[in-house]
Amino acid sequence: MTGISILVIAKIFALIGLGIYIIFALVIVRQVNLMVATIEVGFEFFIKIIAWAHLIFAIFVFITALLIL
Amino acid sequence: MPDVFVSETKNVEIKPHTDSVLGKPKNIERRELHSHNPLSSYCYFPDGIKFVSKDSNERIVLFLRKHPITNIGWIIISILMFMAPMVLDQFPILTFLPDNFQFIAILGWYLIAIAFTLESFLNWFFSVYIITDERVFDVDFVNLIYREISEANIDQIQDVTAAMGGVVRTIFNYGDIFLQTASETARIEFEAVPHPDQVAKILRELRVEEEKEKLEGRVR
Repeated sequence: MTGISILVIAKIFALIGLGIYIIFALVIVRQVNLMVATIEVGFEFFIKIIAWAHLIFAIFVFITALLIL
Repeated sequence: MPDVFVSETKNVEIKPHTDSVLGKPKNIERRELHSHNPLSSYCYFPDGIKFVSKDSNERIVLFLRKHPITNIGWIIISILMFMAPMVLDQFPILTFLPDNFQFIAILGWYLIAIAFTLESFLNWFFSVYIITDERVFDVDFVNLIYREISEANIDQIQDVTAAMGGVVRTIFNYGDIFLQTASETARIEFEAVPHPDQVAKILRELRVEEEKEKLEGRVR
């Protein structure tokens, strides 16, 4: 019973942490968009793709944690 | 009525702009520094670079970033972070956790590694120094939630100091440039830029050009 409770608490903490991480990934996307609007050097598309891929990966990890923990 | 005095036509030689720093790259050394690579850390008269407050008739003379060698530290740390789960697989550190928790812990670690790598790369990529024929820009991407953009007019620059010291900096020829200005931003720093002597020389030429423009009344 105690073991299960600890795991449930661990799951909640993991999900909170991953949720905060998604917000952080969103901030990266927003900041990259702002910086790309500030300076154009011809590499914007690749940088935006990386920022979005990072956000998608963060969401994927959150959903995976939600399903398997 | 005949003219009493007709002055001789003075054959004034007007120097074309191409002789100055505002012209195209004038010597071989500088022409070599004209790069089309978007990841270049030193580009003389770059093509296709735009920034938000650029005037339509303003020309970018120099586009600078920190020397690529300054990235070596975070690249090594990133590689170690990405390899850590494979190495730690040999040591039973997470075995007290159920398998599903172990899997999420590893994914979480990779997220942290990606965040570190991305932040370090973006920090280098977006921290740029732009010298135009009218102004100097210092764009500091301090971290993912804070950035700072300072600018000063070329004619407000009072003093340029190029500093280079240390073994690595001497080998790879990069250093710092300090600009003392009369503007609100009293001091602008270009950190670890390649060819600091060239940068200082170009800045000096631009200041002379700006002085000339003032004297000739060509001030924009």
